[in-house]
Amino acid sequence: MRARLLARRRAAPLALGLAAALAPLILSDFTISLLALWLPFVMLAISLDLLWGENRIVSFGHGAFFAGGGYVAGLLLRGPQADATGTNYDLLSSGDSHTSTFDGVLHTLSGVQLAGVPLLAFVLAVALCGLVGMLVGMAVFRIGSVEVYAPLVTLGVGVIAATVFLKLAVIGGSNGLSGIPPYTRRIAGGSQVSIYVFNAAWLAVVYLAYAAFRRSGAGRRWRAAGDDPIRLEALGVDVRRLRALGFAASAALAGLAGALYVGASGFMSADTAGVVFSVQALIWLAVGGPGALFAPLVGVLAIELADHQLSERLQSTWQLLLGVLLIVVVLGAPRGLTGLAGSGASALQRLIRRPPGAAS
Amino acid sequence: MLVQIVAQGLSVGAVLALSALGLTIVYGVMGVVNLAHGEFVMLGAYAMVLLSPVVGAWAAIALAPLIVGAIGLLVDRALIRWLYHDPVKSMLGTFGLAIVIRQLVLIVEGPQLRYVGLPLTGAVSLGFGQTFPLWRVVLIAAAVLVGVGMAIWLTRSAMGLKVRTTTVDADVAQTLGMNVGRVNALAFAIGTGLAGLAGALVAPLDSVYPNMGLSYLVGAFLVVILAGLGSIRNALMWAAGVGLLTAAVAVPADDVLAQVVVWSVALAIVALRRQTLVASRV
Repeated sequence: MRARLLARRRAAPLALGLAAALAPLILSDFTISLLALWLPFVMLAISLDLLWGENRIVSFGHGAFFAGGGYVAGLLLRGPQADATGTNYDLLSSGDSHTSTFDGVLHTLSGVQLAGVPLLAFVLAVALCGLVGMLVGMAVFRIGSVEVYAPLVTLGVGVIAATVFLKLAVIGGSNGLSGIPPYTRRIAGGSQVSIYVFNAAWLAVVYLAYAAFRRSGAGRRWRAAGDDPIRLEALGVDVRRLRALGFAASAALAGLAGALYVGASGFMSADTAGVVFSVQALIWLAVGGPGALFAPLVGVLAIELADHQLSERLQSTWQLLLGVLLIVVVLGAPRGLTGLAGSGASALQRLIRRPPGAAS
Repeated sequence: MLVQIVAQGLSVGAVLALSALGLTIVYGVMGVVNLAHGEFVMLGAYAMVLLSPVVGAWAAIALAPLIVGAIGLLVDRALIRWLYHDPVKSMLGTFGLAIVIRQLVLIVEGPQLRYVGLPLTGAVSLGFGQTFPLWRVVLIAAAVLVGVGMAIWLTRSAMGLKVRTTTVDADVAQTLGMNVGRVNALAFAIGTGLAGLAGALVAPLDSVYPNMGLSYLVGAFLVVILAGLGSIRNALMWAAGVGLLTAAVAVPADDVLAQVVVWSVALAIVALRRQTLVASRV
């Protein structure tokens, strides 16, 4: 019985891993390049699920962390660019000496490499986003009514970040940061498949860690903070600190996702930090079904595939449909596609298990 | 410059106050955080743009809140009533609504920027050789009038009493025989109507386009974060405060810096005080 249970628990991840590994053999290079872009989105959706699905905290500002991680990693990945994109630095008002110190620091930081991958790109993206997330979390969770407060405050964080990124000349200002090479430029020449494999491997690690966290004692304590914070507080757990830590972890994960995204897209713009993209990420999760392990994957793939297929053909009607879809999901299927699939599967199971000859 | 800052600050604050009032009433009464609020401001601005050539500017300003409020009433019956007292659900649902309204306007009216002329041109002298556009004076007067009018209506009228009772405890209000459904619908119509009024008044100062709502939503949220949801007096005061701070940075420096400073100060204030967001008194 136990063995069968274990086998069942492992079947889905194994099948997914196999499908992910076989994808480059079957799908076209173009589809693979799209998937390489979407995998970091799945990671962003996981970071939101950690807050929303597990703890009923909705963040309207995770785009800021995603963009922040992307910018940090993009700068390190690109390295100092005195001549090639000097145009970007012209916008900087404070003159040449400032630029060169910045270049010097950038040179040192991006110098720490393993097989051409600047390791500090990940470390700094995660550390900076985690730190800012910690500060935001401490601000948000001091006050009661987290359900209302967290969205409002994170909305503000997104607005500040988008405005600042738009004005910062070092990261390209309103032009965005472009010309970022992929992480795999020295390993596999930066082919589409290599970028996909790189991102898929990272996502697999994060997904396994997330699944393990959900089953662990820490994961249960985290979920308890969402279910009944007052009782948990009475049991001697500092819920505020727990939530601030959780928010920091989620922000760091969003930063990591952004760092992986720029490696695939080669570009990061200030728009990504704004409210519209942050809510797009919430829509993925809402459609997937917050709280379900595979919701981030299902939500991102469903929405982005539909977006890719329909947005060109339908133009503004597609956005309209997306709005209607969000309303329908919120009203009719609060547990999203995974919830629908789950209830469908159990209905089917009941149908199959019905003993033969039973009255229908 | 100080006079300029105060005058500009109060007029920025007036716009914030008008859009924040509707948001705060809707949350106070039915526990709905309306992320489509900016879209109702946009609808008000479009009502102004489309109606003022036909019926004249002042009649358009009078009609805009009625039209937008009527749309709000329909939306409440069709969608919002399923979202009462569930902040997270209401935010997602109303964001979907915002997308739908925005895209419908985009499809019907197109993406181009629209403009409408000032109903009142001219300027008032502030002394010290400074002048100030007359329309901004109207804006400030409108915000104060609407705020005071709402406060009197809520505290002195029978319907206002019902609205306040529902704000405090909807279940008790229901038990006492009040038609809570009607109170909710009315509150949503008033909230969206105020947004429509804000849109109509602001339209002559700004370009009108389908995506204009977001900045008004964000501004209204800023005031609401500081003032607490559901309190009119606080909303007016904090709107003036935010407007003054914005102008104090924007007039000598620039708008972007002003936005960053204002939000940073707001988050710092929020972080430093121990007080719940939801004010219990209207």
